[in-house]
Amino acid sequence: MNAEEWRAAKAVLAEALLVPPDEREALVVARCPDPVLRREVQAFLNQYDEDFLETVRTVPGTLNSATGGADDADPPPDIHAGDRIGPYAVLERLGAGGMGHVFLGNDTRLRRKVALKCLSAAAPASELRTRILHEARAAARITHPHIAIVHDVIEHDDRPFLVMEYVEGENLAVMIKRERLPLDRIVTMTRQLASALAAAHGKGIVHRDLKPANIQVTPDGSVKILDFGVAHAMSAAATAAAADVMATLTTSTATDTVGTLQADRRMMHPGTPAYMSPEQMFGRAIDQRSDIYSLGVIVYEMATGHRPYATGDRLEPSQFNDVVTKMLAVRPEDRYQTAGELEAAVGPLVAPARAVEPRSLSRAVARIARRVAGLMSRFRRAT
Amino acid sequence: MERVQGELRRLAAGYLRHERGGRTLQPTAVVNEAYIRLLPQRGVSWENRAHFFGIAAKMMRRVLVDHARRKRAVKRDAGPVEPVSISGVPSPAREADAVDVLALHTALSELARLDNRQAEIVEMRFFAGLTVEEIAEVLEISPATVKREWATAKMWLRRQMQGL
Repeated sequence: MNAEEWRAAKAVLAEALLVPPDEREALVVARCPDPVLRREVQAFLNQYDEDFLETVRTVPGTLNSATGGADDADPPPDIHAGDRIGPYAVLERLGAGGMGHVFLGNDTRLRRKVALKCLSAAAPASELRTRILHEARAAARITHPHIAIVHDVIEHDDRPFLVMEYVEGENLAVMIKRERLPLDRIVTMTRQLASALAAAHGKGIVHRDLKPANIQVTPDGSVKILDFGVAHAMSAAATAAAADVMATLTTSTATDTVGTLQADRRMMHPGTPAYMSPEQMFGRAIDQRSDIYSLGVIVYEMATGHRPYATGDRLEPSQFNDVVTKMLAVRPEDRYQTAGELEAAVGPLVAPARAVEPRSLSRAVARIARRVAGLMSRFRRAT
Repeated sequence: MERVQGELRRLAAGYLRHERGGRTLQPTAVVNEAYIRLLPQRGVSWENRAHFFGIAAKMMRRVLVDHARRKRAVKRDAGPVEPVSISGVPSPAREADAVDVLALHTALSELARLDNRQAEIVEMRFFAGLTVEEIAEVLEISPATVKREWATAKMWLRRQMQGL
């Protein structure tokens, strides 16, 4: 049954439910000149059970154990400081998470630091590996001042690795937790991020997992997006893994397997729930507007100190507030349709007079202020 | 929402752990409790509320499906186990009422391909335990529409799950 047929059947079924049971037959005949539709509708009505799913009981024993979660992290690959990954010497482990394990490496030939991201903890089957590498190489084609460069895509131990620019500075996730940034700074960062998104989207690449942890604030105060294309590459791995699970579960009903896999593929949504767009959350098809939503959540959080759900607070009424509200529209069609459009909306709000204040400078100012205050209090005590 | 997800998982796990024999599990209670904890009482816009419930329903579905999968993987040869009810009503055992969460999950994914909104309504109704009126508010549609969608969705799902 396709969507069209179901819509037609549904309309008749809804009407049939409104009349007494003994009148339904006649109504169905009157409404369905098409015998195929009529048979479908009758089949639905014949097995109708009003109580179905109302007093819900689950299959015995399926619900009593509660350990761990579906998102349990992959086991780390067996890589330690001093090891080599291709031509790169591993210096230390930078982090782990849903999006893979990251190591700080040293490119001995070019003498620069790189971030090495393992895209799949387990060695994937060769065709899957090819697909991951393909996605990763697509990401490597993006060049933008506010996106961390992908230097290389390599295989080590049958596992795909992304070799990325190591961005010095502080992670935005850490920064947000510590301090509330001044609005003009947030506006500037928003414009930089919008411009970065526009560049990547222009190459047909949606980030899918935009969150503060994937944004690095460099010492000069500007921002760089990390991990572009990684979620995409990872989703290949996640989807394949889920397909395996579903295949095992559905071996008994082999005929349904294809449909089940397709259905379940839609369920896969790599990404971080906190910053995920509603459509991504619901496992629908996503496009660049999903990244715009995620960026909206990030900007909101920068401005208010928390994410836009679960509280009723509002940003100060301003043009920027309107921009953020539009980014966060539940329906993708109510948001900015492209990152370029967003960039154009934010651009005029950037205050040229009060240029970005590098964090090191503000820190230095704060340090001097503290020192002055300290000296003054000592001075007062002395007099 | 990490916090929400964590909360929901923790709460659901709590309810599920206590789930032995006759005691009931109430998804509505799970979600409501998470909601009450997470939302300060002052002005909540419907948009946020809608988003929250949409996510909560999704979360509950995932929590339940995860559990069902794990359980199935572990106890393929399990003997008779006491029935578990996830409704608020400790109903007398009626075998016909038993719902296989995994089969429902699969059927619902199929329904989503035909009619996404209808599948969302089932998600909110069944997995998050929202009332027809609440779903109408959240989706900004009339209660009559929700009722109609829910009733016809039940027909579709039952037929699909029974392979009729």
